[in-house]
Amino acid sequence: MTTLYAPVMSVHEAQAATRRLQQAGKTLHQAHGKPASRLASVLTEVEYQQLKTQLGDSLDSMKPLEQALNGALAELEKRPRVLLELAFEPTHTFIAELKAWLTKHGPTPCLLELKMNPGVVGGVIVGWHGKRFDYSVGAKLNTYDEFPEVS
Amino acid sequence: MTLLKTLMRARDPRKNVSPAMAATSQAEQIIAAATQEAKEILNRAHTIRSDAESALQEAAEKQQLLLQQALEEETRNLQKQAHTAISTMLDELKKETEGAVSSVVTDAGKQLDTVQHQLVATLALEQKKMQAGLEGVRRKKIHSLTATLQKEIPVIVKKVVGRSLALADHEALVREALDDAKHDTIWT
Repeated sequence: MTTLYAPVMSVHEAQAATRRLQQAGKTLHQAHGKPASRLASVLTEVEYQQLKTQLGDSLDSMKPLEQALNGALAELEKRPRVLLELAFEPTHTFIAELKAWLTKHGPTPCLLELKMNPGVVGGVIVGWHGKRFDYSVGAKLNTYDEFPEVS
Repeated sequence: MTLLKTLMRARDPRKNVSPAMAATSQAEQIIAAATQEAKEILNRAHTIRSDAESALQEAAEKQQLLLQQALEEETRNLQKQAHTAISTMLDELKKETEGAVSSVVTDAGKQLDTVQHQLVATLALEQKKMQAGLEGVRRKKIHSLTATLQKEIPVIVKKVVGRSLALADHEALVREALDDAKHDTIWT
């Protein structure tokens, strides 16, 4: 299956990429001239260069190009989601760090979904295939054993 | 294991100087302070609970006394009414049965005793029921109060800790959590 993207993408990035690929598919059929040149204005530079590397001489052939776009679209749709619940709004730098961590230690390819949850307090809750793995300070506080017991 | 022990585990911040470690150390200090605050809240909660229990106990005793007095008053009235009714009956019988007065008097006296015994037994039974009822109410109130405290205290502590952490502290805690996650088999 064709992939034009990094092993870990945010959900927003994947949604934007999906829209671009769909637009590229339409442009391919509607316009005249060389197919690849039509896509340059729709796709990002990285996507276009990736396509160029993958297709090589077939870049201007309609069928391989269409297959590559559809393959990339299918690959994005099939990616599983990793949900990270945080107690704060992460910076772009920190999101990049989380992606790097997932690339190294997580399931790839995947989509990263971030959710703000004040109940986390600190640390993180990882969501994967409907299961939650709680590494939060909030969970530790819930097990604090000095709360009064109901008599 | 307490929260403090959990969070302060296996590292000495004084020996580590990286920004992440410093942030973690700072986070631990904040959490320790929050834990202290939680303990103080807990102590206050115990005092509130104790005060509430005393107040409930006092109210229950007062209510019990009032009910007992009312019951005793009612019993006295009933005894009086019974006595009057039996005396009237006795007088009427005296008038109607001139020859058997002494036997009628004896029977009426026995009836009066029986009524009095029944009233005393009823009083004791009512007192028992009343005590059981008040104890039930007291237990219910205490249970509800304790459950509220149990629910509210973690919420308060979470708010205190969450608000106290700076962005760098949050990031350090996430890194530490992800380090823990690495050792678990999440992705299978």
